[in-house]
Amino acid sequence: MISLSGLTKEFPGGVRAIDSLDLEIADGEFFALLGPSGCGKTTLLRTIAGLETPTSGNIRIGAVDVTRLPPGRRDVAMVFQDYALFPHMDVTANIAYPLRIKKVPRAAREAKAAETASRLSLSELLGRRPGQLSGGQQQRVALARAIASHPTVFLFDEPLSNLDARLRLEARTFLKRLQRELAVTTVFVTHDQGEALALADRIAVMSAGRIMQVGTPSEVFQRPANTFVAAFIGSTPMNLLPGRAENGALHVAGAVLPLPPGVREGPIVYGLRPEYADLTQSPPLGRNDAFTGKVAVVENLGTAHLVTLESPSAEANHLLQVVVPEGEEPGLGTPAWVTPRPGRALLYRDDELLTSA
Amino acid sequence: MEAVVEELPVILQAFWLTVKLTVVSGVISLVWGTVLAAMRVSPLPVLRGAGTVYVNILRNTPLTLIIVFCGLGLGTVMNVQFSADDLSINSFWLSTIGLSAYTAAFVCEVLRAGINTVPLGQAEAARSIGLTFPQTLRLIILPQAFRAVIAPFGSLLIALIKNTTVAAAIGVAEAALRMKNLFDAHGDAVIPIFLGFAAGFVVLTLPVGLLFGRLARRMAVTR
Ligand SMILES: Nc1ncnc2c1ncn2[C@@H]1O[C@H](COP(=O)(O)OP(=O)(O)OP(=O)(O)O)[C@@H](O)[C@H]1O
Ligand SMILES: [Mg+2]
Repeated sequence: MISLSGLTKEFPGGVRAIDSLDLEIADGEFFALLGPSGCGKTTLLRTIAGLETPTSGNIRIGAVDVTRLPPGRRDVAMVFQDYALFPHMDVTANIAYPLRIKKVPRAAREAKAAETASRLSLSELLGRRPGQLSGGQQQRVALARAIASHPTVFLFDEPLSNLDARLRLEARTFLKRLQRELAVTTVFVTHDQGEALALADRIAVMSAGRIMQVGTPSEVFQRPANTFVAAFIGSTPMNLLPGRAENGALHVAGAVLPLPPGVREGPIVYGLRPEYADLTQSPPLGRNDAFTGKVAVVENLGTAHLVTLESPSAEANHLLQVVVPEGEEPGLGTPAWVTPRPGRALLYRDDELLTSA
Repeated sequence: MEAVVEELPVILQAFWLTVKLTVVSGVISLVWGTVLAAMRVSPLPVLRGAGTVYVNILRNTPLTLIIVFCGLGLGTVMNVQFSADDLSINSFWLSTIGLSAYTAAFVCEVLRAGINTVPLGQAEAARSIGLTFPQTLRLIILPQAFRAVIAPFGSLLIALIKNTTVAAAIGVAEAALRMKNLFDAHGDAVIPIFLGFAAGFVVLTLPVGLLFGRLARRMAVTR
């Protein structure tokens, strides 16, 4: 288990890259640190690795307080974003290098390197230098170097970001399978919410050095704890519309929606994923809980379309986005109606999740 | 021309001494320069400061002054002796000290430029594997830095070959001093003798340039 308590890292000049952060990561977990650029993900990972010294707070790995231990004594292996392979050594030497430093005898470490290499389909490349490898191959050598040293924790900094889109998908599946097999606690950093949802057992969403939410991919996706997480997670951004709870109903962007029990009157933010609503080109019969507006933009997503509606509500001119299946996209400028699926919308007040609606 | 042929043994002997001065000072300055570079990138401010002071003083003092200081200051005043009876051995080693001390400052600076070509990530990767600072430097950083500066090292070696002539100032019988002596002995053949010695230097320096150029391409680190 990795546990961080009150961890703070302030860089000279007063940048608080990590701000009194508490977090527990279970043994064998595949854990993602997710957040926008500059939120402190890399700094947190490097602090766990021992490459940065925290300003205050503690880091424990298992039963050991490693806060003041040098990187080499923490039993962690880091895979760097640019891999940082040693260019003057061949693949075997690169993979076996951590073992050499641990004084493992030559025969044993070369056997281990060969075994790890074959597991990552690198056997043909053992005699090459990193400069003679493709990006994907370099990435696997970097993984092999980490795996061969048999650490208790893997730390990956954006391990897939240097690969092209196609290779990235392949490597993602591969990485997930590998982590399952090895069952080594893994913390990885990404700014790609899709990658985090696909790979992780649990995700910590970060912003400005703080953790906004920790949860499984479905928790984070289905019940974002605040509007930051709501806006950050999802391949199409969630609609977040201001509204009011009034006279036993929700008034949002011109629509009148049923008010879930237990919500007090007052202002709310109404969150609705574009995937969780249905678009029709005539008013839905017998109900008045639909948003209405004019089709302003239609974007092709491949298997679906993302439609943006301009809804001329009384208060302001809100935009509403809906995902529409292939072949059902409306014409530009035509009127359309959007019915949220029951129970799929989320209500926020004071930037905290109240309930679904 | 006859003078050159007649004195060929002397000329060859002179160049042999030039080669010996070059090789010995070259090796010493490489080692010393590497130590200086390590000092200048070390995390200890004292070592960094000492390295900086040394390099700035030695690099900015004319070589002739340094050699004369070694000959007179070390040799005569402080009575540093390498051989009790052979004066030429004494002057050889005293000038070697001067040449090495001077060249090491340049080796240090070239090597430091080489160290700067190695990405910071390399040192961090080494550190996260558990290497100490000296190990990181020796096993990861310097091997890459050396490969990056082979060509400039070739230029330094060429400069060193030519700089050995300054040892004439304290009576080392290398090429320049011998040439002057031959001028005195063969007043009618100054030009041929001069050309002979000039050719000798070209024979030494030209292959060095070519060799290091080729080596630099062969050993280059591809990332
Ligand atoms: N060595 C440093 N000195 C000063 N400030 C730093 C240093 N390293 C990072 N920072 C600052 O700390 C903050 C967090 O940086 P960090 O690299 O952890 O972000 P990140 O979440 O990894 O971003 P990205 O997705 O762009 O890699 C940023 O504001 C950054 O400018
Ligand atoms: Mg980063």
